[in-house]
Amino acid sequence: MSKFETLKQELARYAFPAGISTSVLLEVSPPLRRVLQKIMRQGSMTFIELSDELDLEGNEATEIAELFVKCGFLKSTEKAPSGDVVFRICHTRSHRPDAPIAIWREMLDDMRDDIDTTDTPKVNASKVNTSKDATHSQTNTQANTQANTQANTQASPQDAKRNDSDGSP
Amino acid sequence: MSKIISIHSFRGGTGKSNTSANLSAIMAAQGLKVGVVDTDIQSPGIHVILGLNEEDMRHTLNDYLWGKCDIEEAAHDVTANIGEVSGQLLFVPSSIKPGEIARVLREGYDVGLLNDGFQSLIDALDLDVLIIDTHPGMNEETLLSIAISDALVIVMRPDQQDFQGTAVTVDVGRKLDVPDLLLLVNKAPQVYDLDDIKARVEGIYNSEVAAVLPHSDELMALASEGVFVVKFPDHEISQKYKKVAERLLRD
Repeated sequence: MSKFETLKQELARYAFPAGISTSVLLEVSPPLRRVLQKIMRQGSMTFIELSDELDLEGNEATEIAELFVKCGFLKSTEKAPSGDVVFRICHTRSHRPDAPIAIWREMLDDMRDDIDTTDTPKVNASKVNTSKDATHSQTNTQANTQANTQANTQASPQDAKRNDSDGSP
Repeated sequence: MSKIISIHSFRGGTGKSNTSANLSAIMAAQGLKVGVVDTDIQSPGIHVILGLNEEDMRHTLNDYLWGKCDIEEAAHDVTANIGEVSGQLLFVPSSIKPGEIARVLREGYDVGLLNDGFQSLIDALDLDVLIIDTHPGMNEETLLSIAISDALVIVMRPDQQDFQGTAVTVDVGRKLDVPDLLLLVNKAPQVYDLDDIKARVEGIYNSEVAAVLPHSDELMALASEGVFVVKFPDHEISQKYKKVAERLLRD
């Protein structure tokens, strides 16, 4: 298979409407990675440079460049003042959904100014446990937990049968 | 032509920021114009070693990523903090304001802007070397900095947890074709034979070990209040850092 066909087939497998994460470099084939990394290092690449890098000419180079853009790897922009088209990496936005919850808690004081406090639910003073109540509450919770544990371990034969039939553990 | 060097470790507490600060100080002392960027946005720390106080931070990397300034405006000249040197040390800190760290975590940022920022910084400040102090582990900034680096220094301790994580980082560095990949073993217990550690680590990763730095009470006692090679220029560790810098600058 020609280099053009190989690249075309690989690019057709990808769709990154919001741009690529750098981690994509670890997934793509070495020829594709080398091109993307070179653009990343240089910042941008002209069409001629891209064609040279891909070792393609004419319509084949144009088609692959268009596919790079269509798949979300690259974006093309006009470079001032020459007006030449240059290709740049289309990076996705960095997000960190895995940030530990403790971070938010610790930062709460500093973020307080940004938080709309009018939405904060009012505290009902009569429902706030005193330390004595809290001790009772804790004792009750422990008792309930014990009771629940016993109930679970003493499940009825019907429960056991139901669990067996629906595949539940 | 300028050189981009990433200092990375898979786990925290390996001495990554100390390594970045010491190598940058050595290079500046050799007459080079050195830039250092703290991309450890979640837990910045190298500003302490380089002697930049929070109140002196005009702009930070966070400001640049939010479009509040150009990257070069966030560069602070900290050369005076490393003594009289013929070069220059310019430092781009990450914000240490909890609300601003939280904002990055909450909203993310344009990674393309970070990449553009590295290139702009080199061009605008005419840097000879750009050192990127990364966040431990693998994330977007880490992968980006590895992907665009001419050299990657992976800092590790002689510890089983570090050994596994370092293997991951070495694999990533190799996959991303980093032209120069070096390991730096830090905080090695004095009871060990350092040459033996070097040979073993090189054997495990099939990578060059630039130096094995012994645990140092002087370094611990310095407690990040300054750059070690400046405070203890004749110390064994300083001499080893100088050799690592020489090795990194070798073409």
